[in-house]
Amino acid sequence: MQFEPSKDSDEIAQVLRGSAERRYGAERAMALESRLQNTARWMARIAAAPVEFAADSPDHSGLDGDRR
Amino acid sequence: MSGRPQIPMVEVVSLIRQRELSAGEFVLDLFQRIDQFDSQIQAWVRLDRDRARASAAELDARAARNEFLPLHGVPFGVKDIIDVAGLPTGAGFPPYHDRIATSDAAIVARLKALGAIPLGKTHTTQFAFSDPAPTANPYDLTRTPGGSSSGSGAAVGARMVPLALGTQTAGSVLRPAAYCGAVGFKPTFNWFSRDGVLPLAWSLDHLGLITQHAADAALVYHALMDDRVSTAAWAGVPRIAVLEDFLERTEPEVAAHLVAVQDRLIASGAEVTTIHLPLDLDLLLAVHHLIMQVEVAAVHAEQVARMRDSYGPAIPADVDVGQLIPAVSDQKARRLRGALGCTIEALFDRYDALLLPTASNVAPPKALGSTGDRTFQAPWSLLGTPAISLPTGSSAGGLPIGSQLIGRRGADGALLSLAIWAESALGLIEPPSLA
Repeated sequence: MQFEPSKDSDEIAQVLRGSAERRYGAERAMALESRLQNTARWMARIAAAPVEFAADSPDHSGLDGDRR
Repeated sequence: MSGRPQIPMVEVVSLIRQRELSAGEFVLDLFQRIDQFDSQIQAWVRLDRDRARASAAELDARAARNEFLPLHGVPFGVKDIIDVAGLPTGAGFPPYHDRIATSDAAIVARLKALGAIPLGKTHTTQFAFSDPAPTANPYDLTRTPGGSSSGSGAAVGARMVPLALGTQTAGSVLRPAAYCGAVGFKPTFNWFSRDGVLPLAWSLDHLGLITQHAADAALVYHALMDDRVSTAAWAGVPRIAVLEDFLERTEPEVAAHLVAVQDRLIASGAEVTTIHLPLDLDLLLAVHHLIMQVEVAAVHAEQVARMRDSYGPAIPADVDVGQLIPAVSDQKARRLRGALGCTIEALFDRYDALLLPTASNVAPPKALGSTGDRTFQAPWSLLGTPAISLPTGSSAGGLPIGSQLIGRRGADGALLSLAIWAESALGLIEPPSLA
């Protein structure tokens, strides 16, 4: 499953909802509805944010080198 | 009852060193206070009275030989996701209630070696996530103490103990500290070892300290870091940036309080500037929340599959959704975290600290079933910067309000020095009136 940056959160929520129904059944998916919508909003925001092609890989985000 | 539970930790250490107070007397005072008030507050899961008294007696014997340790006789509480040998690490999860730790978590072992005395385990939300603990706020028993370090915040706020350990993945050290009138400090990511601490989300989990005063947090931090980090008094004019983006999302009474804090800091000699974040706050929060949801799912998925009915509602639901998130979204979020961190880092070329309310509100009613708003603390957990919350005032209804200072990654000692300066400029709030 891939999301284009242009897809808005409603479309992403619809895809997530479909996945939840297939994986967990309709009743459990319905109980997840508010969480699915929140997650879709986060995904849409992240998808729309530009990132430099040559930017650091996630492993070099700066958080991993600080173990004391 | 003795008034000693109200004495600042720095002074307790000094009194013990001067042999004007014994560790045994202080531990006894605190157990009396816990016995008197904990039935209302429920900060403690279990106490370890016999071993605490034995440790205090041993420390008093050392003191008689003129042998002192850096935290000699400082009692502390331990959030119940952190191992203490011989006690269960219950995590607010019924199947874990008899899961006895066989060794101390690294930070507990270190504090004990420094002369501190564990009094017992404090309540946590389930696995340090969001299903609430039974704990009440010492300033108003109908209000949440915040979470997830609910018992640690309430125990320190109620002056049952001068130090408690907490953990923060979104806002779980600073928010309960703020709601309970205490100081909450989390260091730079990974500066305190998490060995022996149950994980919630590996790249976000921080250990932190809850104390009554900023100087107490500095004392403990300094000892834990083997004196490698300076927490000397702040010298020069502090340059502080107030983050307007958060004020726009703050309840009016808390926003007005932060403006008053700003004025008092200026009057005390600080250079205070109001700025907008050079990035999209909603993006910052989205990145935090998505990474956290993925990691919570990764940590808990297998156990949820086996023991779903033993969980509260929050973790299984987040696991269900977290497992649906495509890897490409997660990886993009992690790349963005690096870029956002660099943007924030650049602010510290111009400012010594960032200032914002610790939370958007005062402690909400317990009946709402929430431990409060994580929005104002989560960005700093995402970016791994040191952060400290100071109890800087009270609402008209008598609930504590916290203000939060953020420092440069790795500059924890400087942040603590600035916090001590700010605390002396801003004053302290009254302890709760418990009856």
